[in-house]
Amino acid sequence: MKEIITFEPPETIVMTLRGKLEAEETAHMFEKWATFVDPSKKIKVLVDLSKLEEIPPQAREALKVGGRKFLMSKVSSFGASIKMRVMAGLVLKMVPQVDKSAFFKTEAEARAWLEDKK
Amino acid sequence: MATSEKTMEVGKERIDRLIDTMASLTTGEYDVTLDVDEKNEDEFTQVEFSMNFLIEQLIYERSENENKQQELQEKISLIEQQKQAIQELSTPIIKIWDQVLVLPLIGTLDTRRSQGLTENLLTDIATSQSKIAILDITGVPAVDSAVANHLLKTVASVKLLGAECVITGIRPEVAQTIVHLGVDLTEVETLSNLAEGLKWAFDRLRIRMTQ
Repeated sequence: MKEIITFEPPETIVMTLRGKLEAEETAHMFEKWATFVDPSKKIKVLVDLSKLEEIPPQAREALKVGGRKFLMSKVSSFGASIKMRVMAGLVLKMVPQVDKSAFFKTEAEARAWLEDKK
Repeated sequence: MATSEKTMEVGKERIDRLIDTMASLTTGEYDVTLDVDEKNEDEFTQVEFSMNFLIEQLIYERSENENKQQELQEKISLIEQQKQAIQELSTPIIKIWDQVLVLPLIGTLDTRRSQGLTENLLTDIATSQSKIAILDITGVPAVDSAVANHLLKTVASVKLLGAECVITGIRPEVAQTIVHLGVDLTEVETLSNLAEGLKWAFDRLRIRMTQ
């Protein structure tokens, strides 16, 4: 899987998405989330979109379906191109389990917002 | 582009391009892409990108539908082939004796199956020069008026080929149905079972069986 997924205790999933997102990889991504966190508890998500190039229709569906299995108080993304920012924004709209989401240019800004410092 | 919190100006050219794209989509032409000026990004850029994502989704859905239709066609074709094979297996014609054919029918008789058996029977009679055809319907649980009338026509068609036809093994419930439907089988030779049918056939052919 080309995505990198780590966990920063107590509640933050950190991901880097690269290239063209594949549907199967996306599904595995959420399986990995479940090994880090309890889906019934609220989490935060930090996503590096700087290397993401494309989210094809099958992967969009997988993001929506997988995302709906978790409760996310905040999803903070950074580095996305305008195209990926619009796409990610559309997908996030379809995941009501996300309370708040925001896009930033840098990782520092994204982390600050996530930690309520901004 | 001037933008306030609630309003923004969008160039007519961009609006026209968007409408042209929508016109293509509305008339089933999905092979279009909206040009987006990524360098001069504004609020309307989101709309333009969203339109292109929508086009991708439509193309993907159409392709999926075409694949599913193809799969469905193949499955339908396979089912037809299997149906044909089952039909052939379920209406065997047995040459039980010189000049005597037996059709042991099992299962539900519908119009399609009845037509199939008539065609096959007439072909076999002509080919084998048989004089007697025994239609045994012991294994047929029910018939409707269409099937009953078709059996009558089968008997008549066999007669036209210079052969004789007897129906054996009519179940009590089938007999009741035939009478209730008002189908006239008085002109048709009927016997209680296949054994009687064979005796009748040997008798017609003047074949003596000794124990």
